[in-house]
Amino acid sequence: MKLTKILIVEDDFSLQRLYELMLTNYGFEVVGKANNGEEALTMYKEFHEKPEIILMDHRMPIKNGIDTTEEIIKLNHTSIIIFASADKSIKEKAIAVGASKFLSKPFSYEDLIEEINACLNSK
Amino acid sequence: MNDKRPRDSIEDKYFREYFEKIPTPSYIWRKQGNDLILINYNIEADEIVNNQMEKFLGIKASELYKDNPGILKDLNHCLEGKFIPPKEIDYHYQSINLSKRLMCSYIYIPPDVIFVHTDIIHREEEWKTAEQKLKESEERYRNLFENSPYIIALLDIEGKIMEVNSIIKELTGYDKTLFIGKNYLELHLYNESLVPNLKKRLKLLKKGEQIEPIEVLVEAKEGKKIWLLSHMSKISLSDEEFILVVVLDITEKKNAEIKLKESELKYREAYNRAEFYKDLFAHDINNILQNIRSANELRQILRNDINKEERLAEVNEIINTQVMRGANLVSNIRKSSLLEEFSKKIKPIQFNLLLESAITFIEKMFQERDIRIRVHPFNANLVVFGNEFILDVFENILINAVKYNQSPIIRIDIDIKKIINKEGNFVQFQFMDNGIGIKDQRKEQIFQRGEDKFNIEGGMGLGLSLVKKILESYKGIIWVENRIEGDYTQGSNFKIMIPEAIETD
Repeated sequence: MKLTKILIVEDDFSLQRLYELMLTNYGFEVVGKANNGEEALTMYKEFHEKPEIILMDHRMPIKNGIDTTEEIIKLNHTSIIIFASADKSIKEKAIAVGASKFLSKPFSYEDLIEEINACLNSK
Repeated sequence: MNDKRPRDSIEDKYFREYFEKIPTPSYIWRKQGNDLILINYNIEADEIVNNQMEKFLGIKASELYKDNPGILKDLNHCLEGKFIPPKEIDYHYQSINLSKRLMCSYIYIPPDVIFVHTDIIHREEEWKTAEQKLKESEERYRNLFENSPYIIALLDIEGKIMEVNSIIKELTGYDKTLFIGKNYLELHLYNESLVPNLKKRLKLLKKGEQIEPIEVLVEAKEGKKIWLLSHMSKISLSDEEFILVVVLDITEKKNAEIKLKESELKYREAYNRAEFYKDLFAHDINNILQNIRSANELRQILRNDINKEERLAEVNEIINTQVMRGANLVSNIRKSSLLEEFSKKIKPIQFNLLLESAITFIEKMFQERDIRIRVHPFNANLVVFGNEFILDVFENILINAVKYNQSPIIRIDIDIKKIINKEGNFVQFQFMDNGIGIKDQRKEQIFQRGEDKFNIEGGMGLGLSLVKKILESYKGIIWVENRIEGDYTQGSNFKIMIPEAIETD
């Protein structure tokens, strides 16, 4: 069975690891972990097979989540980007630039899986 | 002009001629029944009532002088042939609503005519009074000029000082004689850079335009700085043009304004800082909570995992680290709010252990990254002036060196040495990393976060703006250069200089 590919974009290393453990435990495949938006873009361009889901933080060094989302959407407007940010004030902007969902930290494991599945089902 | 006066009533042409030329108001009355009627008047009489005399021709004395029974009585006595000595009377000319003091003489010309001659006696006195008033006025203005709390000066149209009052000495310390005869553009009491603007203002004044008052910082005698507000306007005196200058001492007001601005700035900074910390705290605490929540949920999820033991240990470690991170965040926020208070408690600090502690913290915080920090050998006896916040300085710089770094191996070289320059003795720290580097245009901005604009780019910690503030409280400085000159992409070199604390026995 082909696993759903997920790219994690998060500058908090322990969170990166926890997301990875949660997602792989559920049965998804974490294809990459980027520390900032710039890294995420580089990785995204290099993927031969693009990830189905991108889990995106906002406040990151070098390039933030909003700008990264905008650029990824420009590259592929069907990309599914789920925002996972502690900054609720950017929710509207995130959706406006193309994010499919917005998870406000701290969210539960259940919320995360539910939102990913909802996005996959609505594809 | 249609003159209706009955010329034929004066038989003698010589008398008539004389009558017309009398330089004071004169009138002729003729008896009619029991009354007298006005039959003539001269030019002066007409002029005094603004040429309205004609309407009084034929008027009865009893009617005209109904409110002046004294005149009526005198007229009647005169008609009876009695001698009436010249009299001073106050007479109100109703037609022009004006009172005058008159010297009134009556001459009886038999059989039925009375010649009345009036002399406005106060004319001469008025001149005398006016002259006196002018003198008094001049004296008052002179007093006003000299005792004015403002500098008042009269300049010729080219800006040469013709006259200035004595207050100038009180304000500037220089006697007024030093100013008179000089052009105000060449006084050298104010910054030379003002001269072009002052020249421009003079030009506008000469053209007849009005100019706004100007605030000028003046260096008075013995280097005393005073703020003056100068009003200038063009005036004409006896057809000659001058410039009137009124200068107010606004030093007290200006200093209060400057203090107010500083205070406003301080409060604005404090507000921005509070907002910055509030947002930073909310953001970071949510990330910590996310870590703890996810780790806790994973502890349940991983129950059936084949690598259960190993994973649980990893997750437990994350929880412990996050708790520590939360405690640090709270402590740092608290410290920053106390920064001003702590800045008064600067003392000699041995920084080696604090640097070691910062390095350990970073290695623990970024366990997944391959971090290689090298501290070059240095004189372990070096001591700087600082306080416990120096740990935050080291930690923040190291955190940035790791976070803004995409190299597989993160290298940080720390070099510490003593520097002596004309400012004094310093200990210089260099933190050289192989990170992504900082473009030249951003090299100053990175120390201004949360200060002039509300902007947090990501990550934890209180940022370089706080580092800068901490170092400023030590009278130290921080700046950033490229690790390799001319190529920012090769990483950054954060340089810090903190005054050395030279221990004395």
